[in-house]
Amino acid sequence: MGDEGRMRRPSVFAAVLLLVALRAGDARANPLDVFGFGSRETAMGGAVSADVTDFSATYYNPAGLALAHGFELSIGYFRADHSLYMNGKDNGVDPVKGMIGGAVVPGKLFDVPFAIGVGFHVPDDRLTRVRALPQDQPRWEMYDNRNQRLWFGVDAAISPLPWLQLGGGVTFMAATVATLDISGHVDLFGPSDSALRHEVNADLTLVAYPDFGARVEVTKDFTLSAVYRGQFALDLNVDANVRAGVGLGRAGDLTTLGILLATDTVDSFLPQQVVLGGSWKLLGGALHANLDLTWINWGAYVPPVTKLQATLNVPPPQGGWPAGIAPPTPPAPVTITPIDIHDTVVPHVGLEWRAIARPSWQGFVRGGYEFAKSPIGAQTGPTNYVDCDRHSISAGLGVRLLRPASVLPGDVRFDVAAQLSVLPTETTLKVDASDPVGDYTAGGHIWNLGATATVGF
Amino acid sequence: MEFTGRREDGKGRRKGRLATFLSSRLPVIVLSSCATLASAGHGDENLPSSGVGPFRPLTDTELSHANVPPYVFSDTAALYREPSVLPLSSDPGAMAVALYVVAHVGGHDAIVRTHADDARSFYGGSADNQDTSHPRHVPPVVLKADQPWEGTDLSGPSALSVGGQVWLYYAAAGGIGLAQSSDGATFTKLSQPVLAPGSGWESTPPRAPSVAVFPDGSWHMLYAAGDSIGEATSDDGKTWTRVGDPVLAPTPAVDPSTLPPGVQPPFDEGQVGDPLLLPRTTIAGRLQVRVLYTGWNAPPGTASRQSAIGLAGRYGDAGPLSRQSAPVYTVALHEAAPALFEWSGGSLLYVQEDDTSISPTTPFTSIAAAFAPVAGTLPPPAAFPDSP
Repeated sequence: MGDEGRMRRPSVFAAVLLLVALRAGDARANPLDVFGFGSRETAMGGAVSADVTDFSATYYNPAGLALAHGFELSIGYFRADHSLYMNGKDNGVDPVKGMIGGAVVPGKLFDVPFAIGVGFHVPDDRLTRVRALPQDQPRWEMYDNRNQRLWFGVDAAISPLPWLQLGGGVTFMAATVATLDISGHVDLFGPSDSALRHEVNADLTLVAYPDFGARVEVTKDFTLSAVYRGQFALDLNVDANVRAGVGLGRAGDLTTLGILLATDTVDSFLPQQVVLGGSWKLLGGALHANLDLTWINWGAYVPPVTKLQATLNVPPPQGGWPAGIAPPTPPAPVTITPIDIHDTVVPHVGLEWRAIARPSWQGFVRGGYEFAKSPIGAQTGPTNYVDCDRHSISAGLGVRLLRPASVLPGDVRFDVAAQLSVLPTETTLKVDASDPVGDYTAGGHIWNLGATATVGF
Repeated sequence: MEFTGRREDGKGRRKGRLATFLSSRLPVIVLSSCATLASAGHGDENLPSSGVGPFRPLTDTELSHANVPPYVFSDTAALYREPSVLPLSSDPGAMAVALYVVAHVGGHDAIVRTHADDARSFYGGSADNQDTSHPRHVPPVVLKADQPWEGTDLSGPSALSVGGQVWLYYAAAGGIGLAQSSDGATFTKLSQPVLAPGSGWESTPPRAPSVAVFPDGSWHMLYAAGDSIGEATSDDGKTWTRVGDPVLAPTPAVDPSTLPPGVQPPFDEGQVGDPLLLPRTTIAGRLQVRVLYTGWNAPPGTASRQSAIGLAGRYGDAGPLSRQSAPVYTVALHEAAPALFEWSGGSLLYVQEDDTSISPTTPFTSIAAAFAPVAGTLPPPAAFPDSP
């Protein structure tokens, strides 16, 4: 087999990988938007879209994958603990925690640098959580439930010119379609004597969105980036069929009850985003100063409020309903109050200083800041999508061992990060004095700690 | 196309084996993470609330085994109704309460008193008297009609703790009266009504009073008259001045044919009454006047009319009330006359309600209880007390 033949087989392999990357793509949800992806990147306030080449590029900017120097494997863990309060009392918002990691596989395609990147975040508590709450129930809209997601992504990138890198992928995640069947006997005056059978059938289907990124080296020390992340939503559809005989005590069924409930909920809506970033190399490359601006299309947000359609079929018993028993009526359709939400621009700034440079290792000190103004307007009406502005201050350390062992001829990196997000307390004043929730205050803080190890080959 | 572990040196083959090893283990690592068991989710603890619903009926695990949920105080002869509850302790976590209710005694309606250490197991109800090891417990009558202006029956008790005394407002034929007690059991009446029948929109004598002292020291009374709710103010709780127009009237009637499918007409388009005045200062420092009331879907005398418990309110010490369109408690059992006990663990709503526990087709009136927040839980019930 000649050189041409050897070239063809890897090309087919690469094409298959590229197809997988474009078909399967990323599975993105929200935890990375809030807590970052990778300890280096979290420590730098997420301001890395023009300064990322490892597995975390699958989230921040897939174009950066094309600059990977070799095959890299990364593994890490982070834990974000919420201390979020309403009226001074902790609401018990679950932590977001789990493993992160990924791999970058570089190569060349017709002498054009090319790479595939894989990234994942696997929660160690649950893979996903879906809650559809009444719109008037207070909830931390941006932190409760939304960030408890499995995230898995694959991206591809090329560098057609030495100063230009392009990357992209397609995202998917599970949606739920379910049927709930309930049948049996309902005793109007003896609930404990009722006997109902349940049957649940659920299907997980896939939804997808695209993402793209570009990276342009304007000068040797200045790089610009642009990233687009598509809109994403989970549809949770549950149909419930209730069929039961209705009776009084053990005297037999008076009539039959038939209810068909069809619910439609949009959950975990992730708005489309555009990131513009820049990275400056200062002090001869020892200091990286980065800035990202992320436009988030929150104005298109669909709140996770269930739309309910109910069909009730309860024929009156012979002789009519007994005294004291009113025939049931179907629940009124939910009138969804539009959410007051608007687009935001989130600035991220980050610094990375190579504080120590030895022949065998390097030490890094990092810091970052992010300000996420709440996109949600004051909840003075019947809805209670609780949110506050968020100031996130982060810091971290990193060590890079330069080819430490023959079995690991690539570099080995250890990075740690700590991030404190402060949500200054805000007061909500209700317009309607008969509001069941009333005035409240909301605020708190979030600690996010993580560590990541990367091995290069 | 080259696809090696490293692009720029010649060690790709050896590193490729290691890469293959690690790559083969990566899914195992990931799947190991996936295999952990999930805990129950949280995120909705200690949620803010006005403390006035929505309510859910008490369940059998929340009551003594002798009680039939959600009824906490019943008697087929006394037909207990129109409850008023008074905390017996200043400890915000204590659940001992006294309950003043209207009872049918000796052919007339009088006001009796009972109490419970857990706000649910009341002395002298039918559940308490299922225990035959003790003599029958009878809640004592604390107030009956004996003044010329009162007629033969009393109704609408509203108990208030005032400087170590219990002030009990009540309704009778000639208006609203006041009785005072130092022990909550032996009362002394004022000889004349504190609020006599009015005129104008008040097509009936005032009834169902509810009195509270606002943070500024002013006294406020809500009362029912005709089909609406009015307000009066006082400096001492004895001399009252009517505000004027009703602060809450029935919701204007809606033609059901104009409503979308599934949407019910207003629950209170026939009559409003039985106000329960509940002022509080919100966490933002505003005075919020909360009012629970009974709403009827048809005028008095309508055979099939139903009722439900609604919520109204206002900010500040004067002005009309706004209301929630949906009731905070509805079970289609002619529930009416709300009373509320708030403590650190939640809110218990007491209402009079059709009791079907003996005969589904021939209900009688009892006192039922409901709890908010609906997702909360009550501590286990206590024993019935030995004294009223």
